[in-house]
Amino acid sequence: MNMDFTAPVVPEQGAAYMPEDTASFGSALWTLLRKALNVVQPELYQAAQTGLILAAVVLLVSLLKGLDTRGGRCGKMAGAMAIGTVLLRGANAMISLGAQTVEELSQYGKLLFPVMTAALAAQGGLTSSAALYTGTAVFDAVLMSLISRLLVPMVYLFLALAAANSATGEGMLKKLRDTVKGFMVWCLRIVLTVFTTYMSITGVVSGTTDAAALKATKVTISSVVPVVGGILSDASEAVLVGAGVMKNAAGVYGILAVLALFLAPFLRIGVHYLSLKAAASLCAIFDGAGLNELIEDFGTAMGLLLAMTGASCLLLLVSTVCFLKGAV
Amino acid sequence: MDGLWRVLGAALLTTVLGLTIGKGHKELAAVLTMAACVMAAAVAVGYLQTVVAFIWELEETAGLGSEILTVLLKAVGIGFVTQVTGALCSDGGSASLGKTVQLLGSAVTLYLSIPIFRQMLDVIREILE
Repeated sequence: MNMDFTAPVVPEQGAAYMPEDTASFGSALWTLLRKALNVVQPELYQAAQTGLILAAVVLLVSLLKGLDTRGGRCGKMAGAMAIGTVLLRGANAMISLGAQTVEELSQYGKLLFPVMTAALAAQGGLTSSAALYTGTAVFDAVLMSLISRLLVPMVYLFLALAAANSATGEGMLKKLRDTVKGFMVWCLRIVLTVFTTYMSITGVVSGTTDAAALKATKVTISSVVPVVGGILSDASEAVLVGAGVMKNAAGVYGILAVLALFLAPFLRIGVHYLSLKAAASLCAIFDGAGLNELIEDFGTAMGLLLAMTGASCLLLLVSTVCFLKGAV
Repeated sequence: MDGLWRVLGAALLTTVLGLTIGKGHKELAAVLTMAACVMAAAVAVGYLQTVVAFIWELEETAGLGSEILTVLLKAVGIGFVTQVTGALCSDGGSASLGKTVQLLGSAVTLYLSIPIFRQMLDVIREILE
C-alpha cells in the first residue's frame, strides 16, 4: 500500500523564511538560513545603540562611585535603575518572542506528530509509532507547560532580583538570584535528560554514523545552545543518522517548517545575548561600581531564553528524525 | 597634564603653609585651604569636560535622546560639589555640617533620579499589562 502523507503547512510566523522548493533538503536548508540571517542586521544596529548608551551610563556612574560618599551610593542605585530601564524593554520583547516561539513550535508539533505517526504505522511500525508518539507528545506538553507557566515568569523574577541586587548590593538578593537561575537550569536539564534517556531506551536513538561528523555536531550544539546544549548534543546522533535517510517528504517538510519557525527568533535572541555579553565585558574596563554584573545578568537571561527555545526546537527535530528513522 | 602637577604642588604647599599659619591664624589657614580646593576643583572640572564631551558623543552616535544621561550628569555634578563643600566644612571644624551637606547631596541625587525610577515603573507597567 503506497500512501502519501503531507506535513501540516508552516504557520504564518515561519512562512516568510520557508523555502519554496523543499525537494532537496540541503539547498532548502541553505535558503532558509540565508533568509533567517537577514533579521540579524537590524538587531545588530539596535544592539550597538544600546551598547553605547550602556557605556555612557556606566562611565557616569563610575564617576559618581569615585566620589565615595552617600551621593555616590545613591548614584549607583540610580545607575542600576538606568541600566534596568534601558535593557528591560528590549529584554521584555525578547522574552515575549521566546515564549511565542516555544508555543508555536509546540502547536506545530501537535499537528506534525500525528502525520509522522500515521506514516510510520502505514509502513509497518505500529508498535514503535505508538511508543514514539506517546513519548514525544508527553515531553512536548511537559516542556511547553514548564516553559510558559514557570520558567518565563521566573526569567522576570531573575531580572528583578538582579536589578535589586545591583542597586542595593545586598548579598542575600545575589544568593536568591543565583538560586532562581539554578532552579531554571535544573528544570530544563531534568526534562531534557529524561527525554534523551527515553529516546535511548526506546532504541530509536541508535545507529552508526560518521564519527567526525558526530563529534562536530555535538560540539556545535553544545556551544550554540547555552545551558542545555551539552544534554541535547547527546541526541545529535539521532539527527545525523536520520539525516542520511530523509526520504520521507512529510518529514523533510516538517523539519524545514520547524527550523523556519525557530531560526529567526533564535538568531534575534542570540544577537541580544552576544551583544549584552560584549557590552558587559566593555563596561567592566571602566566600571568601579559593579554595574557590568547587571548587564551580564541580562545576558544570562537571554542565554536562558536561548536554552528554552533551543530545547523546544531540538525536541521536535530529534522526535521527527526518530519517526523518519523508524520509517526506513 | 600640566594642571595636575601644578595642583599637586599647590596642595602640598598649602598643607605646609596651613600647618605654619594655622598655629596663630586658623581662619587664614582655612581660607587658604578653601582657595586651594577651589583651584583643584576647577582643574578637575576641566578634565571632566573631556569625559562629558565623550559621553555626549556616545549618546549622539547611539542616536537616542536620553533623559537618563542628563539626570546622571547632574547627579555627578552635585555629588562633586557637595563632597568638596562637605570636606571643607569638616576641615574647618564643622564635621556635622560637612556630613549634613553630603546628606543634602544624596537627597538631591535621589530627587534627580526620580525620572529614571518613573521610566522604570512605566516599563514594568507595560510588561504587566
